[in-house]
Amino acid sequence: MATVSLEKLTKVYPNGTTAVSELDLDVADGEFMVLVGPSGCGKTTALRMVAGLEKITDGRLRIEDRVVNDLAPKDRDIAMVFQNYALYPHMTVAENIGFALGLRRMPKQTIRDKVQAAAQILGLGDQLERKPAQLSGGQRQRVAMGRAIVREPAAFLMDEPLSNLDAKLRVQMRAEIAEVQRRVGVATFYVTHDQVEAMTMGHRVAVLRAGVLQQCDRPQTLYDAPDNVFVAAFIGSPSMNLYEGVISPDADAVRLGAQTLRIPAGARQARPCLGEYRDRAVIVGIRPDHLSDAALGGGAADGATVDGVVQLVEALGSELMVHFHLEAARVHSGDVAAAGEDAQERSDLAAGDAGLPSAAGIARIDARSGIRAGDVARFAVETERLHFFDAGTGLAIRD
Amino acid sequence: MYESTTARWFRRVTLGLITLFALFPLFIILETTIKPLKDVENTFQWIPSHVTFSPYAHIWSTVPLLHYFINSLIVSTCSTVIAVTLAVFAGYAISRFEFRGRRAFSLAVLSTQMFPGILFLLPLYLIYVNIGHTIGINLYGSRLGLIITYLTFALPFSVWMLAGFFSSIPRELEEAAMVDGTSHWGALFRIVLPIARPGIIAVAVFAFMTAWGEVLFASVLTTESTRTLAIGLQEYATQGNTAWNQLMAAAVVVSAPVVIVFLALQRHLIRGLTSGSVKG
Repeated sequence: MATVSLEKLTKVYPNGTTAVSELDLDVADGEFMVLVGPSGCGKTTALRMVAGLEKITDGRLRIEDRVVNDLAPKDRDIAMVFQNYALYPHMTVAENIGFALGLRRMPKQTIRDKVQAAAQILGLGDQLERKPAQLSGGQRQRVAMGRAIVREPAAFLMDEPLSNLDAKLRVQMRAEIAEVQRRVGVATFYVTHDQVEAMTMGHRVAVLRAGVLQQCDRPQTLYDAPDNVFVAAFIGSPSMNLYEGVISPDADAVRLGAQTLRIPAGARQARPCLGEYRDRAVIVGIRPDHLSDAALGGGAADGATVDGVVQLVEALGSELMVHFHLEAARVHSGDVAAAGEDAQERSDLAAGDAGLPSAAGIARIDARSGIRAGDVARFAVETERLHFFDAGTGLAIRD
Repeated sequence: MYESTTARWFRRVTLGLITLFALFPLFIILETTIKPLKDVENTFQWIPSHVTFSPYAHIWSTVPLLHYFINSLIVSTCSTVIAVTLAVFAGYAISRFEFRGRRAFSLAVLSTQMFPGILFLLPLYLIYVNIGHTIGINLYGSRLGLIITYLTFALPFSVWMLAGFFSSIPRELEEAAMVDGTSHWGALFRIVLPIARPGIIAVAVFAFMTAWGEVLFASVLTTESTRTLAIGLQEYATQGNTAWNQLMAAAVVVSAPVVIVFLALQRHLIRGLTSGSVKG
């Protein structure tokens, strides 16, 4: 049974911009649903429509099988955590957490017990008498969480709750929020622009672009089988390397510039319609994780390597991030640009070199590799895990 | 910061002299109130020939000071309460809602602050007299007329200031309150107003003090029975003689409530209550 159900939810602003277009989403009981997308994709607008802070232009919104389109926020039985926490500065932590209960005219003792219990869960026990101004960023974040969980609502709505924290604290709070959500088991609708948050926290992740839902699935599925180029480029860090290639006449190999990658039988069988792309351009996607230093592997199979000019090697201790250029056409697609600055920058970098068509890429390889900047390195490619997309539509070529 | 000895002494002496200069009139006022009248009328002397508190007793009978005091209190309090109450809602609307004419309204509010008050004196007088003639509502010489007059300065000022205060309060606080279970009105009363309290108090104190000390309009628009303190003070000086010691004592008595109120509310005037509600 879905707790929160969005049916063709649409938001058009008075000036004519469509922020969210026919969004269909179900958040099941106890589910952690992450809505992710680049900034300006309409994800916060979608969340605010669910909260009742933004008027719904069209479509239907149900919370626990009740159509709530026209209900005021207070009557929707939802709790929300804001990006900037929105703690009431004139109230203590305890008053902040208990505010909603007080409005429901609960007995004082009950409120005190519930606030105490919530504070216990969040480790705020000895901060209850403080004012928000006296708290650190992480503590404020917890108070905001406390204000939500104490209500025991039908659903939690969270709008980029971690974006104001520093990197280290963000990782910690990520785990804490996921843990608290698991313990209280309330359906959660979580908005973020950070795909790492989406991947690590969500039971399911919905990817939104320009107000349109691209794909909604388990994180692993999004990573393994993105529906289109946008999702492919957006999910995963570093993001997927995308090149323009041409399928060979036998449909058993793909040409990237002067180089050829064989498409293994398994991958071909999984994509019967790849045959229709003989001699046609496709977009080939290679995850940085599926590249390795051919010199280390003890000889990669023929037709399963690519050569690239190494631009930069970032040593992270456990692994190397190798930035390289490949002699292949880069993907000219708004999809990649829209997916994020990271992917865009890489394409721009490659485009800067005049003359040969060349596209940038990143490989995440073993730290023992001896690859240095300036080398022409040979990378082994896990060809079983190549991704193919239609060059025109950007949709995945699957079956 | 490093400061040489010379610079430090220069700073101390200069600031000390400026402080003395600012405080000296105050000292003269207080000192005059405890001198007998003949001391004041003779050449200035630092030490009174004898200390007397009789000016403080006599001020009430020389002039109907209590009556004026009540007039001032009614006029200042009413204009302040009305101005702040209306300004809270008007300021909130300007800061939060998009509506037709919002810009024109806020500009109109601001433009009233651009003209010197004396420009309005004659028009107001004529309007009041005419209203009295045609409708029969007596505004000239009445407390109501003076309250309305003071509203014309206090209200635009309060609206403008409070709109600024409200704009500095993050909208998310109200949204959070509405999600937590208040109506929009509830969010205004439970969240916005308590947070804006320093601003509201500051505006109220300002409106009150302006009305309390106003001389120009009160001197023209009041009559014997509705006279306010600021005008009443002049009555200690008659054609024949001036009771300087009583005049000064009355000045002290008149200022006292404002000073006391100001000191009492000073704590609330401190800004920065909003910090900590959101990031930073």
